[in-house]
Amino acid sequence: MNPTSSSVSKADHPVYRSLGLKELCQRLEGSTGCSILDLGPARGANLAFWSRFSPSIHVADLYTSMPLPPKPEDDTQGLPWNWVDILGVSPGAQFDVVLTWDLFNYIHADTLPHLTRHLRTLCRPAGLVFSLLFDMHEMKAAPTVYRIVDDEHLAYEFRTQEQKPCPRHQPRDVTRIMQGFRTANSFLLRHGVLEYLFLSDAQM
Amino acid sequence: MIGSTISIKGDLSGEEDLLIEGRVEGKIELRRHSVTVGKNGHVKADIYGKSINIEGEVQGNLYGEEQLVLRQSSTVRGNIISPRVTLEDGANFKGSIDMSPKDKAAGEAPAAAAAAKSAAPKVP
Repeated sequence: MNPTSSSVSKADHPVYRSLGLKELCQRLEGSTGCSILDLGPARGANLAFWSRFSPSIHVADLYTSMPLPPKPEDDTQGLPWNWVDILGVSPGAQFDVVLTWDLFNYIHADTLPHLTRHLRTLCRPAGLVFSLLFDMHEMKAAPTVYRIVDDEHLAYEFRTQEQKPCPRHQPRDVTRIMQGFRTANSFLLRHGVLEYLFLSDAQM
Repeated sequence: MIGSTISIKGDLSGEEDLLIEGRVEGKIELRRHSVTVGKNGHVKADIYGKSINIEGEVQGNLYGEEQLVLRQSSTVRGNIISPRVTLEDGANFKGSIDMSPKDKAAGEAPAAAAAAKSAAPKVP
């Protein structure tokens, strides 16, 4: 699909090439039965896109479930959020793919390991986690909604034009945050986005 | 039609299409017909319909025999089971969506399959 022929206006929603999405799709190619957990909001285009790999998608929409960015008084503490309630996943549900989008840039660094520990319990063995981490000095003040254009392009729907400092998680931070996962691949894109594909080391 | 001033607690069933603009709490079962929750509709119930169209608010599971549409104005908290699901941008949804055909064949989960294979080739 040619991204420039998409109904999404480039001026309103810039479209970027996503090597991480491309690799994720390559890994899923041929699969029709995988289960996907999307931590972002529901988007019809994304649902339509994933339907070729998966008939089952859980939309957790942490963008509305969590106060993001956290309130200043919360932002200084690694609060133990109730992930079971926040994610709303049925007991026993397991996923092959977890889409975290850019949420890890907006959750406190001390809170993130709590979330990723919970995500690990939700991942099937060799489950994949797709994350976008930012490497620039400033980022949008609220998480962006990502609309899948095709196998290797994402349209960015900015929810605010306000900026805030970016945490710029370093590799050692990523290792600490993603315990129980290993980096399957990562891609540094020209616009300062680091796309990660993490692999769960959960055992069968 | 259930008008905007009507409030019902209980199970609803029937043999015709239904438009809900009021409040319903319970269960709605019109498996051979269309169910529409209008913009003013507030439903706290599982809904069974041949075709389900949501414009208002629903807290419950939605079972569309043929298709299911969440409009831009909708807010849905619950699970969706339907072979065809359309979600308009702006629809506020949280829950699971299952589009499996009723008589789906068993499929191998890619993660489990990948665990037995070597790593995928890197993107050049």
